Amino acid sequence: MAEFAGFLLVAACAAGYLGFALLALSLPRHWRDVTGAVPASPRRCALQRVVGYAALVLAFALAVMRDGAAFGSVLAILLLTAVATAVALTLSWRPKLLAAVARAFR
Amino acid sequence: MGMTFRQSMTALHTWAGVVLGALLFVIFWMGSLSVFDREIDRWMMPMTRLAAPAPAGLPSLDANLRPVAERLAAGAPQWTIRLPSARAPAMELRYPDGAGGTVRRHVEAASGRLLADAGSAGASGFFFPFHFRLHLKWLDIGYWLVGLAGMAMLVLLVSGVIIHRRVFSDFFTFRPERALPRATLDLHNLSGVLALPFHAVVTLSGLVIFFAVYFPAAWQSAYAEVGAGARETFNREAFGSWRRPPAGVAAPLASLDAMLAAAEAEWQGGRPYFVRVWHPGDAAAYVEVRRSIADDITMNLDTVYFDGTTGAVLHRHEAQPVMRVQRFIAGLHFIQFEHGILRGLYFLAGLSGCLMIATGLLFWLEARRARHARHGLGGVRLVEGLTVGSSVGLIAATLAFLVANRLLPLALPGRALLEMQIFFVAWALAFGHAGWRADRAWREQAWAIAVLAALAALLNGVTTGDHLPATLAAGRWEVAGVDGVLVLTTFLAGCAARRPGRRTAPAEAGALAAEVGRG
Repeated sequence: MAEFAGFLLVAACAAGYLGFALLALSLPRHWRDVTGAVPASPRRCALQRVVGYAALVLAFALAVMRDGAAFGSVLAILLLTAVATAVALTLSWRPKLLAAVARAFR
Repeated sequence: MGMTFRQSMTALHTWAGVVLGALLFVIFWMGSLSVFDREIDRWMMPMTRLAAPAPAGLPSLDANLRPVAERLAAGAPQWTIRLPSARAPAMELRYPDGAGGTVRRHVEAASGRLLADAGSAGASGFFFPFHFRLHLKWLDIGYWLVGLAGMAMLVLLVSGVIIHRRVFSDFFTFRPERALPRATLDLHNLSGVLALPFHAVVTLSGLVIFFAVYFPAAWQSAYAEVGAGARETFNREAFGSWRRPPAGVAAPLASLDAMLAAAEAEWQGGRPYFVRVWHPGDAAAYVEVRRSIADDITMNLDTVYFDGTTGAVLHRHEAQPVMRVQRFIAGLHFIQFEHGILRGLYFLAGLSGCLMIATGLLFWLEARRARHARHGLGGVRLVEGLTVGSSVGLIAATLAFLVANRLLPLALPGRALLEMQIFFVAWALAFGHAGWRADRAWREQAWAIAVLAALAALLNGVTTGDHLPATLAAGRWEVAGVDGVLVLTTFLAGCAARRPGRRTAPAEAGALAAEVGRG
């Protein structure tokens, strides 16, 4: 996997960021901040959560693929902490950046 | 008292945080710096900024190190060599100076050239012991204070999760535009919740490292029947510390290179990284060779002991199952493995712990400021002085230490000690300033941080020629990384110092404090 190490790292970050972004959008407050619209159906929230958690699992798997079980697990937990923080800061400063993600789940 | 469970947890969280928050910040800050101790060492000891060693093969200790060691450490009861690595390319020789201290000298591995005396404890000799011992050796009080803070940190994490009303609905919530107490509480909760796995693992593993200190009954009861030699027997069986006394008869030392080769064969290619010669020049001399811990999380305890005069193997050690678990947990904390990305993430997660502690203390202050002023209580004044001095003041003192490192002439006698004294004087000044200027001290010390960080980066360029554009262009990440963080610190501290302070009406602060549950 050494030749894909850089790619796997970027992919794990992207999957983690996307996963946390979807989990955030499933909360009414953040959905309103990003889209300006009122929260819609519980079904959409449930779908966002399922896809969001799946993306987090994928991020974990990519990190383990990159560095093996031991290093990969530690890497995944710290990467997920970092990208969750990035999502929180996006919501604080530039919530509109997540509009595209929200549109996919309207 | 008649408190609900949540109220009692709130009181616990508040008191443990206020009493030990300052100490916890110091421990987290020094731990975060220790993540990059070898890199900061090279920044502070420019003579050791050598090219990385060739990945294959080992340097010849017989040709390139022994002559230096036998000249410098003549008469020393033992001397130690750390072989070169990617993070520390200069070989390091350590030996006791006969006055209770240790001498550290560096040797260029490829040529055997003795490098100039660094005249500095560096990060590994100052920040790292600070992190686990606070430089308080008397009665091991430093270990115990850190252990107490570690236990308190676990209590704070658990009670913090219990009293946080909306862990999931506030998971991503940070409202910087809101008034100070609310924005501070958001930041405290955000850093606390998002980095919770890291904070829990790093705190618990820190306590597990020192199980023999904090929980001595564990080995004392297991080795009770050994009697007087219980500690020694435990150390031998757990850590592989094999010992024998000197004979008092002179005899020459056999080839160290042959011993390294034998150790590599013993470990099927595992590389040695640490060699210690016990009783050098004595007929009962022996040589301890430890295996590299750079490529796994678990810090293996593989060690081979050779007879110093014949080169025969005297003793082999490998960690037993229970100790392998302990060494895995300890390895998660020590991060002695080579993994640059993980190292960077540990550093950031450690700083998020510093942020969590500082914002927790700041929230306590902001929620009580008006009420304490109204009732003439002195609590805010005292906690504010402690908080400012131990957080921003500590960062300023750390930067003063780096500035001193670049300003003091290399030939100055007692230079390493003077650097450390400058750190403590700067830190004491920060506390004094905080007591004098009260709530204005935050902004003024943020300016001090901005100026000192810029000065440190500038002085590194002036005194060594390794200024940031040059080290970036050459891809010398260890020096460029330290300078880059210094420049970033200047920027962030400048932003923080210029930020307008937004205080709320006392009524709103009081309402927020009531919402959290008054401690």
